[in-house]
Amino acid sequence: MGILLGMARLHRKAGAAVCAVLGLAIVPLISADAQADATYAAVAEATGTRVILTNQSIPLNVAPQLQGPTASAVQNSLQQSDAYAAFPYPGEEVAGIPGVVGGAAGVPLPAYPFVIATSFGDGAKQLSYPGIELRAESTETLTQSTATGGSTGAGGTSSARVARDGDDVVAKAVTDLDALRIGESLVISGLHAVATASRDSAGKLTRASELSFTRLSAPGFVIGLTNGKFTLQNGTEAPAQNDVPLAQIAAALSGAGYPTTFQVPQETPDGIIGAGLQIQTTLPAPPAGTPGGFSGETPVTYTIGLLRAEVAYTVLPTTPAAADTGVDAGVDAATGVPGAPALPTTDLAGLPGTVPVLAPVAAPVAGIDLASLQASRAAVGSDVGWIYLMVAAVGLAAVGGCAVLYRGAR
Amino acid sequence: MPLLDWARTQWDRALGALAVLIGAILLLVGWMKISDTGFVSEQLPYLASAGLGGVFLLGLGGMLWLSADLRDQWRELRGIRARLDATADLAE
Repeated sequence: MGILLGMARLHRKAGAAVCAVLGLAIVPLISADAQADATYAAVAEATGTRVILTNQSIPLNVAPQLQGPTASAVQNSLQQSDAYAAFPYPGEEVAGIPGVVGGAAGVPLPAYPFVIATSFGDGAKQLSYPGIELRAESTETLTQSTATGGSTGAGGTSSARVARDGDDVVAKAVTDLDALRIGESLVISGLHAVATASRDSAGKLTRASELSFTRLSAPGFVIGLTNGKFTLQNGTEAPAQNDVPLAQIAAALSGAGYPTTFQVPQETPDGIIGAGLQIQTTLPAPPAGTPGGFSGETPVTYTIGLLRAEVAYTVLPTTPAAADTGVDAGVDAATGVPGAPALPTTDLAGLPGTVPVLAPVAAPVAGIDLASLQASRAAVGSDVGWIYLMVAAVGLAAVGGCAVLYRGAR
Repeated sequence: MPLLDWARTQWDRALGALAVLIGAILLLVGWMKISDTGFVSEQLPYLASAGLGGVFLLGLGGMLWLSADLRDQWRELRGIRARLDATADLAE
């Protein structure tokens, strides 16, 4: 009997010791707060050239457009990873016609063929035609796409890439055009455009952009463009040292029949829209009796550059890092959940000193659905760490409850 | 080897203690992993595996320990009944 009582006392002591150890185990859990939630949404967009035509004989004042090579990448912290590459791209309206017509007629029509797109989980895809190479890849931490038209030395390539490495997020858009002829006599060669936006783990934003070309030849002069500065080349490849004011360049090009405007890089709250060049020319009227009633001169606008790279990033304001982000996403008064980062649009119209863009910049990839992003955050909770603590507390309560239950039964 | 002997005779209590220990370690490891990243998509797998796994093991351990304690009680009751039966036999 004495032995049995002694064992029972020993077991009670052992149970109390286990409870005490578990109770102490939760102390570091509470004292070492989990890193706050970080939510990011990044986008990179690159388009080699956008061409917009306007002609009064086209019904409904439609302005046909053609652009490419076009590459876009959108990625966020909730496993959205959309990559997109196209060349040539006639705009959303035209590319979507097969789907609209097929849906209305109930007949499956083939989709626009010169497009490739991937979403999260698709991995990498590639599409090849003669003179066209399209690639897209979507993974959890990397979203990238590349569109190439033409061939090496006589073509163009656009690429967009969003990559996350740890807590760092980088969005980068690049366009390279070997040569571009505009109208009868204007040729741009060696065009290179880059836009980069990156955030480190503290949310600090770094922006960079570049637009340059080695040679722009028009009747009467040859110029180069490097780091936003035009240089006279005097018919040679070596740029002269003297920078040429933008107004003189614009006046010279207008005099040659190519009215031109230059868009300086625009910093947005979450990234940058790179420098752009808009050149206008006019196609001569077609011969009378052209099929379709097409008549009259056709003004054509070429837009180069305006690459976009943005990374919106939000961390909970309870962490010291949040104070340095410079991102004011606001806090929902009802839920206390910080607002999801908002990415601005690329519509530059209306900004002082900008290119008068005739049509909104095409956005072949749908913008980030920030509403659903925010809703998902709200559903998950403001901090997974607290949910984890709740789960851990339930486990400890289960063990402690067993001990209490047993002692009560005795 | 008193510990091995104890583990052999008190297997349910030993298993319970082991489950509680592993569960607590899982919870701590999961917390450290969650603390390493700020991205919800990377935190959720640890919540589902280490968090829920740790809680399950803690519950299992508690149940086994409770079961062992109840078995001790039944053993004591059987001993008392045996003594009472023996006393009754002697009285007859």
